[in-house]
Amino acid sequence: MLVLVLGLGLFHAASLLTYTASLNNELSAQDNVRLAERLVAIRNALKAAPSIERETLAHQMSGGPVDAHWGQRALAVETPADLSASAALKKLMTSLVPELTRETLRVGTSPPLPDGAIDTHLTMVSVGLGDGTWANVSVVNSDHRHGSTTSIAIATTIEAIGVLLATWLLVRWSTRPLQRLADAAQQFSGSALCPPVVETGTHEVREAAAAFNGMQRRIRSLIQDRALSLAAISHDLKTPLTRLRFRIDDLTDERLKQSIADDIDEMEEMINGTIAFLRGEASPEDSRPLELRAILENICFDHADRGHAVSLSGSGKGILHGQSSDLKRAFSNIIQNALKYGNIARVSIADASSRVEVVIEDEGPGIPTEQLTAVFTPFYRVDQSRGRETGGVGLGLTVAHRVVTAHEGMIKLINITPRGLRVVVTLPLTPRAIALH
Amino acid sequence: MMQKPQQNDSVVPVDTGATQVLVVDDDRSLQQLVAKFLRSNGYQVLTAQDGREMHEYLRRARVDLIVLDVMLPGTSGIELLRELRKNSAVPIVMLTAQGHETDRILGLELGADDYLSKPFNPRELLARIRSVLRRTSASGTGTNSGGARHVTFEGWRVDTLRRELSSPDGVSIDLSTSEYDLLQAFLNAPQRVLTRDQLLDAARNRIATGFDRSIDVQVSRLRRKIDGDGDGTDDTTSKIKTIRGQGYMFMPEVIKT
Repeated sequence: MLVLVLGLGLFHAASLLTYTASLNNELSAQDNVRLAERLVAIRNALKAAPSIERETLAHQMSGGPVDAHWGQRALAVETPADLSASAALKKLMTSLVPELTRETLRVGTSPPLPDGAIDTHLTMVSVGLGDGTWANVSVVNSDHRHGSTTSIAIATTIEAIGVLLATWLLVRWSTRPLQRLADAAQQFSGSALCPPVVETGTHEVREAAAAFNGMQRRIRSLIQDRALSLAAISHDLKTPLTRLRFRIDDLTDERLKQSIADDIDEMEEMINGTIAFLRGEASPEDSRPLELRAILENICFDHADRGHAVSLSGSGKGILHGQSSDLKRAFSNIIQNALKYGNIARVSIADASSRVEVVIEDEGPGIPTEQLTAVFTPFYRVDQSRGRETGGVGLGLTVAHRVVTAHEGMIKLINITPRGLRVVVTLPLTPRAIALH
Repeated sequence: MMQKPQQNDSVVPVDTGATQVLVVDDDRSLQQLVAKFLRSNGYQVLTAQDGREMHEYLRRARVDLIVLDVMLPGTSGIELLRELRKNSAVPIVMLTAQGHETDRILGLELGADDYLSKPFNPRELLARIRSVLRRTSASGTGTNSGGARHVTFEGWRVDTLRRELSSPDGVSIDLSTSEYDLLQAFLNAPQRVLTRDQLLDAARNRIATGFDRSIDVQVSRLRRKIDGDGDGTDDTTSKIKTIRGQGYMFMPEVIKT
């Protein structure tokens, strides 16, 4: 669009300039012809008149920018600077009166004034009359700039602005579908929630939109296929895991039994994490008012009962509109991470005017600064080797991030000193909960 | 005359009078493992692989409880449940690999008495079976809270199928498994003293992880949630009163709908 405006503006200015220049050229050329004819007429008239009447006649023939005198000398002073400019006039005059020569036709300026200055507004033409006398005609240099040029400029500029405006509207109208297409491409995440692009606009745009929609469908079905097979595998693993749980019941070695039970728990957690990730937006649970604090209490007490160092502080209630099981999983993931990597989880909840802030701190090594955003990508693990040791498939924070974003909240990771990671989750409260404040 | 099922297991054992559980699961190994485990815990067990075998047993033997897998070849467990409930109140515990909240609720709405997600552990299954049997023998019906879907007290509302509690403002308050079981025990016996043993028993309906906490801690957690602003220790304003030397009493009037 900018290119268009600039281009059109430049083009307009250039054409205006050329137009004025050519207009000026034409005007000055016509002026020259007229001047030449007049000068020749003066010369011929003076030549034909008796000497005594010549000065009077010269006066009578003066007028306008032209002031003619009869004299014994040629007054015109030819300066090299004038030569080119006066050449055209000379040429015109000699074409009218062939007997005029370099000797009998001089075009220049009037003689210098006593202080040496030269009146540059005057052109002095001296024409020999053939008897040694001269017709000296001073011509006021006409300013060829036409009075109407300014109005032409205004008129054309208005016209240009009009054209620009029309073009802008047209361009906007014709590129809006393209913008929609770009937006859609930007937003496309492979989820079923992305609507197809409306196929309107020019023929080309419609075709592009249709092609885009086709591609969107193919990608979506690919993603769904992948999700379905991964989900099927995850589900299928549940039955053998149940069998394992029953099989180890017969084991007499309690330590072995416990370690196998822990392994099964870990596998179950991974499977559930994967399923939670895959389910994602596919089957959104009903959203309704809930108390975030109750959810956090349950998670924290559950971990505390298992002997983990979890604490919950703050008086916030966090009454918001949300999806209970999703939020449970999100905060569960964050708190589990804190315990896994930081051995401790300090959870606090505080209500602000329109949002609730939950902070989860641990005392672990934190996350290298350059990886602070990467940890939200699926299957990403901060430390590959240690990640495996501590279990998990790298979906915990991905799911947490997605859930928080779906609730129009924000999740931030901050490394704290001397060591530890602080996870800050802010979620908007429901309008009604805000009103209760 | 009906044809006897071919499998060895399908032979109806001599009825010893012990509780007879019918396990319906198409995964033969799991079916056998579950059967063995339940037998070792004093139950008589019959096993079926699909709906046809299940109906066979129901016609020929006394069945006190059915453990029914949702994913079955042919007629699904959900479909079988729907059929069963048309003319039978036999207690049913559903097993599923799905674990979706919606599946659980659908199963319960169709009349299942409890719902277990794979991979469950043996003790969990045992606890659920015991709890369902106790509940049904006490009330004569298979559903929670004497058949009431919704129970209300002082504006609070409990959905017994979804096992959900909502405040008078309509805000859903998440309860842990043991908190819910405690609340349910209280709702079933309002304005009556419940001893710690009775409450412990009620809360043990389900094996809640780490339920070694004293009943007092659980009660105080529940109080904190249903008393609003309190910190769970103020007895004078609490809906759950401490009866010194005896136990606890749930004060509000309970309405079942």
